[in-house]
Amino acid sequence: MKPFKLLTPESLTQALAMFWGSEGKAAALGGGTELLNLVRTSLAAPGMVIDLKKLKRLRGVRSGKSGVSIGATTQLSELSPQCRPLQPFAALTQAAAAVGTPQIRNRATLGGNLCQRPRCLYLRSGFDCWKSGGKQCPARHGETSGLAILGTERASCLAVHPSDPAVALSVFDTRVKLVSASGSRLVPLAQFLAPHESDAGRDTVLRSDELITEVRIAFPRPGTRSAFVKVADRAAFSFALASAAAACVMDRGTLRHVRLALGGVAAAPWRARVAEEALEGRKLTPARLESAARVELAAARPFERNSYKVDLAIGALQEALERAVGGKL
Amino acid sequence: MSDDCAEKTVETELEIEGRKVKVRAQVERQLPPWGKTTLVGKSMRRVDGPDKVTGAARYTHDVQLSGMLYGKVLRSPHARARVAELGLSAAAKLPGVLAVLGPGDVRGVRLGGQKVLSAEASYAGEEIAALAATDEETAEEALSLIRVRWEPLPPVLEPEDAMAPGAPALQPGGNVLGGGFGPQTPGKPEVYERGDAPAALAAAEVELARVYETPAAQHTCLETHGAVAAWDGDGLTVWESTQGVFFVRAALCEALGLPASRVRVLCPFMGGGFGSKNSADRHTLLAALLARRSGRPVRMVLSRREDFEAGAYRPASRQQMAIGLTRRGRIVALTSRAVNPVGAALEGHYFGSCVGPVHDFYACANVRTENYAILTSSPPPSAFRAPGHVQGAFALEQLVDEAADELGLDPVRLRLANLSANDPDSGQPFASNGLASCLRLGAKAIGWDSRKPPRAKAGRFRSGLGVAIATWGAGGGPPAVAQVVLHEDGSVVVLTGACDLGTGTRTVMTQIAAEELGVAVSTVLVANADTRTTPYCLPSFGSLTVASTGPAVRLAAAEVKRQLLDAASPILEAPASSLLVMRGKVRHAVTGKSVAVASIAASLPARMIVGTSQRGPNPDGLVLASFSAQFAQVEVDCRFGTVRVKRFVSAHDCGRVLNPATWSSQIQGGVLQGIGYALLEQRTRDPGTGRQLNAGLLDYKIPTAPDSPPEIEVIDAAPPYPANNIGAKGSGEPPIIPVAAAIANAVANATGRRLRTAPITPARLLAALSAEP
Amino acid sequence: MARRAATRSSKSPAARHVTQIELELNGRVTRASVPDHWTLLEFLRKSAGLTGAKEGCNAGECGACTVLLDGVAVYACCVLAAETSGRRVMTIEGLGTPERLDPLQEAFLVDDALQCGFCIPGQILAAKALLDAEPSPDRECVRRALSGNLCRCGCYVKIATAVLRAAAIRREPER
Ligand SMILES: Cc1cc2nc3c(=O)[nH]c(=O)nc-3n(C[C@H](O)[C@H](O)[C@H](O)COP(=O)(O)OP(=O)(O)OC[C@H]3O[C@@H](n4cnc5c(N)ncnc54)[C@H](O)[C@@H]3O)c2cc1C
Ligand code: SF4
Ligand code: FES
Ligand code: FES
Repeated sequence: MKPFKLLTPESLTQALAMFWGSEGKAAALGGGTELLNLVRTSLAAPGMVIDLKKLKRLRGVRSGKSGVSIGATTQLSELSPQCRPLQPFAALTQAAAAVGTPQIRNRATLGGNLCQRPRCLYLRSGFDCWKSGGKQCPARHGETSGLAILGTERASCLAVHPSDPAVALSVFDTRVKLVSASGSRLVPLAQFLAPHESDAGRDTVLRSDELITEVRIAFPRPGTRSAFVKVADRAAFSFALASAAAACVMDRGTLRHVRLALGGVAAAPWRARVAEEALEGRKLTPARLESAARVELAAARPFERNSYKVDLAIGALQEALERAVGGKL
Repeated sequence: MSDDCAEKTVETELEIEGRKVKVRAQVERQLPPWGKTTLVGKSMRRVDGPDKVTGAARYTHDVQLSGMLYGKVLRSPHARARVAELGLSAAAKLPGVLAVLGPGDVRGVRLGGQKVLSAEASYAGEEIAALAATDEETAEEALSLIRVRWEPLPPVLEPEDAMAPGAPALQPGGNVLGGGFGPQTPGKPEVYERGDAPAALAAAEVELARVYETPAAQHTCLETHGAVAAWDGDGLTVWESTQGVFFVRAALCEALGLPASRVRVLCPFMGGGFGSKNSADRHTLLAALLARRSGRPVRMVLSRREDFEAGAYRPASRQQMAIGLTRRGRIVALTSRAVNPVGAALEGHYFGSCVGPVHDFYACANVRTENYAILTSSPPPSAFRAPGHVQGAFALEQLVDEAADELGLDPVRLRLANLSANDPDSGQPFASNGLASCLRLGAKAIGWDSRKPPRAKAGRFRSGLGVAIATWGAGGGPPAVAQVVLHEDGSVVVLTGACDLGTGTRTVMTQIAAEELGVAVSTVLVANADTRTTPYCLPSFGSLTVASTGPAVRLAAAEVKRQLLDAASPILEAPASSLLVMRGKVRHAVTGKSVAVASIAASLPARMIVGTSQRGPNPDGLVLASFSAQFAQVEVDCRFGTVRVKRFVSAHDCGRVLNPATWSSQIQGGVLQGIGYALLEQRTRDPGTGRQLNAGLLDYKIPTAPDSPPEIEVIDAAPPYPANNIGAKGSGEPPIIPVAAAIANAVANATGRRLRTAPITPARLLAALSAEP
Repeated sequence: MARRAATRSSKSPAARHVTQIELELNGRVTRASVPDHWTLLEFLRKSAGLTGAKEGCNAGECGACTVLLDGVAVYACCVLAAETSGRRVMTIEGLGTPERLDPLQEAFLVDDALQCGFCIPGQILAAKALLDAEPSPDRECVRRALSGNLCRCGCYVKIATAVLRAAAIRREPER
């Protein structure tokens, strides 16, 4: 691993000062499950690594009036169903539990999870591509089995977003708080994960002098139920081939406030708005659910070897909503 | 050696990894089979277990020598390219770098006929230059300072491209070789023929033709390949994570021109081999060369990425098969045309033959196979647990099931009806054959009678049962030498060159020696796998260690016992023939008068007794094979195309089970690797550049704990085996052979769909489910 | 807090940024100076002489390097050594010795839950973290808790059996 200097600030102000003017030479350290691999494979070469774990304000889950706030360095293992403030957000605790392995969850932080780089085989095997600072995508005409199927029409990079928690967070009103020495901003999650296309090398809108301090989730409407479903070929140590999250209120058999999101199919969690609309205010029946999922996926443009993701996404959407309403259809 | 027959040698046959070879063997003293045993056949804790569960065990990765340098290799990023210019000087000048080697520095050094550093890369990952530095960071920085000007050449990645007219010849003789068992003939497949298969097929009442495909699968030992080399004057010591210290020594001696006496290779512990660590590899030679150049010990341990990219894999296969049967289910013809892309070179690499099962599994008079090895711009292949047979069984054992479906016959019955009393290939009888019992006992254990046809199943989750069988030449044989030493205090050391790959070799040899000598296992220590101190044997491959070294250990222990009784005879004033050894004492069989083993040894002029013996020949005219039948119960989730193996039964005939605990561990391990092969594992490469895309443990997927069925039932179905003095055959490889086919058959039983390509991924299964049946 | 000594050295890139750490390693207070970029695994294996934690991937993808950090199972290849100052680290060497085995180690031997042994230190420590948190797991729970530890020799069935056995032994009242 290329040597770097490790700094351990004790206050947020101190930390922000270290990032200020670092011009991308500094990297935040959460759990290190991603950053250390990026350094080892030369996908990152920070001169300074700044450990955020001594910053108490960035840790833990707090319940407020309108929602909960999850500190950026909160570990995924803490996002468990036993965590009371998270009980309205079953999809999130299920997604956190679906990540990697117990050891990964014990270290990985939510902030770091949202800043992951794509797991594209090409990027991770040292190929020159958009995401490693180049101007091409070798995957497009290569091994396409892991690539995105939605939203690819004008995209340079075709990799899918790797995070499970991000998919679950997408069915709630989630905003990410970004703080720098010069101020702070609250960015909706979808916007956070959607850098401008001219910035194809980046994964988020985070600036080099900014930190994520917390992730805020608004309480959903009373009675909201949610669930997360992940499809993987291997039982652990696996990113999703496809995943889905669903949230809704069941009002005497009628679906209200339906929110659906897909993972493993697009550059960021994919809000399934077409399916949401098809279901909103309707009675939930298996046939209607399946057709809503199919309509959503009609927009898919699979490559040579990833059309299976269309089927998985259709199945995952159905399964997520079925589980959210308690399996009773 | 005191016996008269000691001088006599004969020619005998042994089978290694599906390949029969002739060797000379010294005729051994005949020992009667053991009667009732007290230690052999009992589950006994691993003798090296305490070291392994406490972290005290030192693997090659753990060797640290004072002044040790870290070696690193520069590898080709191109699948086919020439090095036009190589600039090593910046790297060599970096402080802390003590040795740098390029192709020009090692021109004369050959390993298995190949260069150890090459200015012409024939696969991505091939070794180009190597260096050693005082720490890893410096070595890595130095690597980045090496300047290479490449002249890339178009790679030839797929066998179709390599066989196409006008394809660039990757070797002078062309890209097409006969593959598998024997020497390769350029341009021609290896052909096997018995009877007249084409005619029998044409005349058969029922004929089925199908194509099966299997992926390149990688060993993925948890301890990556590695060596630590240190020179002492002109003597070389090498710790290598290997299956065979003597093969490593021979390769080093040949490459470096050293006498065997000057090269010491050790492997006290190793973290998995599965066929990938049978001999020295390029990293071994490079460690030795860098150590010589720098005058310091060098550690050359491959990173996980290198371990994947540098080679070691089971080649992919495409098998075009046909089977002819009578309506009543007798197999009358079998044919296979198999294509194996084997990478850049075959010389020095053995990969097995996927047509073996077609020759060996069933009584069938008419068989024809054509086997092609096709050179491509990929790393060379290697043996991987039952090389060839795993691919071959995936095809044949599905084909037989497809035939059973076609004929409306039960797959277990169809197999039972076509088993062969004699070896189908040679026509000679088996020394023992428990395959039918494996099928019967296994079927009972899995509840085969409750199996329903696919049409009886509906809904999202569908359950299915599948079966498949295996035979495997696992009789072992010479050369294997063992020495047993009884020391003055009565403690015993067994010396054997065999490596313990985690198979329990040390433990089982302890049991054999203690059983034969009549002493407690706690007094016996097995010292192994050190070319300086332990006697010769073949690597631990081909399921041959127990059946090769075991009989030699028993003989050596018997020889010590003979001398011990001779020495006790005057003390106890009784003829040696009336004495026996029990619980550490030599005792008169009738009077019970006894004397402690320790005091006899101490009273000897030499203060010790040494017995050295070697494995004798295999019996003439008998075929030595292990057998297995395996049964899988799967549940298919039709929504997501995923398969869970819910139950697994693995029934075996491998002769006497010496230690049920270590034996069943090995069986379960083989099953689990088979599950990975069936459902998860495949090397993935970029179709353009040929670079591996999944050279890591996240993306090359081996099973995790929850991927395993909760239980794997292991059944011993062995009849007595008379062909060696311990009554044991090998069992390392049979457990992996039928697994993938049994699972594919179970998936077919669950869904009515045939998955003829491994692994059975969600993508493939969903496609099959949505296609018309 | 860890004291920091940023030294410039031409000798080795590893020596450029170094941190003094003081941690409780296997019950003993241990002081060391480690390069900032070293992982806990590198520190254990190269500097502390503890080779029980293995390197199977150096990427958080195998579990062979599993150790306990303040009692929690983590991959030592994903933790910086410098982060462990003031914390408790337990490696397999701290659990038991061949003469005095921990019930988990004993159970692994009884059930023959090992083959080559390379993954075993990690498996045992992952199991310890589980049993310390959940004294009465069922088989499914054990399998999930150990899903972050690959075993290529395929010992999973017996490992789960051994962990359940150890759990039972640990639950027995002190005799
Ligand atoms: C074997 C393995 C399996 C995995 N499987 C899954 C899976 O199934 N699902 C899934 O979702 N993920 C998976 N992951 C990814 C894992 O969840 C992420 O690595 C982890 O969440 C990253 O968090 P961290 O705290 O370790 O981040 P770090 O490694 O510390 O940091 C990651 C990146 O985020 C930046 N960063 C961290 N914190 C902040 C902050 N507060 N502000 C700004 N920048 C920050 C860092 O600078 C770095 O660039 C897996 C990872 C591994 C190694
Ligand atoms: S898909 Fe994205 S990450 Fe992958 S190679 Fe293309 S540009 Fe790079
Ligand atoms: S070495 Fe740390 S997880 Fe593999
Ligand atoms: S025992 Fe060999 S990897 Fe687990």
